Amino acid sequence: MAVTTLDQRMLGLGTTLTDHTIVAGDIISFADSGASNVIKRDTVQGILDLAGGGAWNLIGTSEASGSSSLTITGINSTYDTYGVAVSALVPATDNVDVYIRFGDSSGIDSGSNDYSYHASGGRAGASTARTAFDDTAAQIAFVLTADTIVNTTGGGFGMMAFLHGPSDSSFVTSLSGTYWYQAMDAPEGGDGGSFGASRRDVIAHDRIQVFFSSGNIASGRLSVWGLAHA
Amino acid sequence: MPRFHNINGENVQYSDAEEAARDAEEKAWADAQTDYVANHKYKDDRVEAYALIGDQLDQLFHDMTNDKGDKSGDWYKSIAKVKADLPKPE
Repeated sequence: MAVTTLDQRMLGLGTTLTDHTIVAGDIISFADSGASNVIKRDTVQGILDLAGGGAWNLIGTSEASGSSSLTITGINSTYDTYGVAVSALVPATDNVDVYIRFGDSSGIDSGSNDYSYHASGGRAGASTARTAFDDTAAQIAFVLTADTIVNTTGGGFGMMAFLHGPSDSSFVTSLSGTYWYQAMDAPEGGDGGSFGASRRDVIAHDRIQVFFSSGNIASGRLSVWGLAHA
Repeated sequence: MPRFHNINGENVQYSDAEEAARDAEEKAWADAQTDYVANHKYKDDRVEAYALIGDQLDQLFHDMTNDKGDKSGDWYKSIAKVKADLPKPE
């Protein structure tokens, strides 16, 4: 029920306050700066809506629990760009690569020539950069040569990337970002770098999937945000 | 043991076709890794073991300045050592 009249309860010296969780529909009173400070009301959500301005709006998040892949759906043309975070993704088995694919309601795209990518990075402690690349791949991949991902203590994979135009009918779905992982052959540290990748055909996608080249995901999280222009 | 997708936080069991496709993908990955380690890994290990190109050029310059532009030079010895330490598989 909307509150349209002032409650007579007033805060005074010695008033006891009780803790309550504020919710979006709670009412707050304000003095209207344009009307001689006449008291007006709005909801907490109304105040949050004023913030606007390029917010990151969470589309979805999935935490691994006995699955071999993590998928977030709900991507559409509402946003041109989406933020994609893979947090502390740990494989159930040693010695794996991490893969990413896109899809729509009919399934995940996994054709042998669906993706192209280039990852450039290096191993901690090594002076030479390494690359991983393919322009006719069944998935986007990251592992640099033999530096596969480990599941020992401290192992795993992390990535922050941006998904560009996933539902744009004139632009291929592409992904670019940076990543780091603890590597099998790099006991002194791990491998990290940047990458760019795309689906080779212009298709409207509504989901993104991350998984390992073999075995389940022991732990970790995939999160997707829509990035508002205003 | 069946596999599961996690879609928006909910586990969804693989279909039979997805299980077969995943089996094939995992085998392809394992085969590729085996081939890489057996036949190609030494090349990447060598690249990482070689000195930076700039340092190698400097080494060559000094070798030539000292009339050691042959197998007696430091550059040749350093390259030969990397190749010996990381041999090409037979």
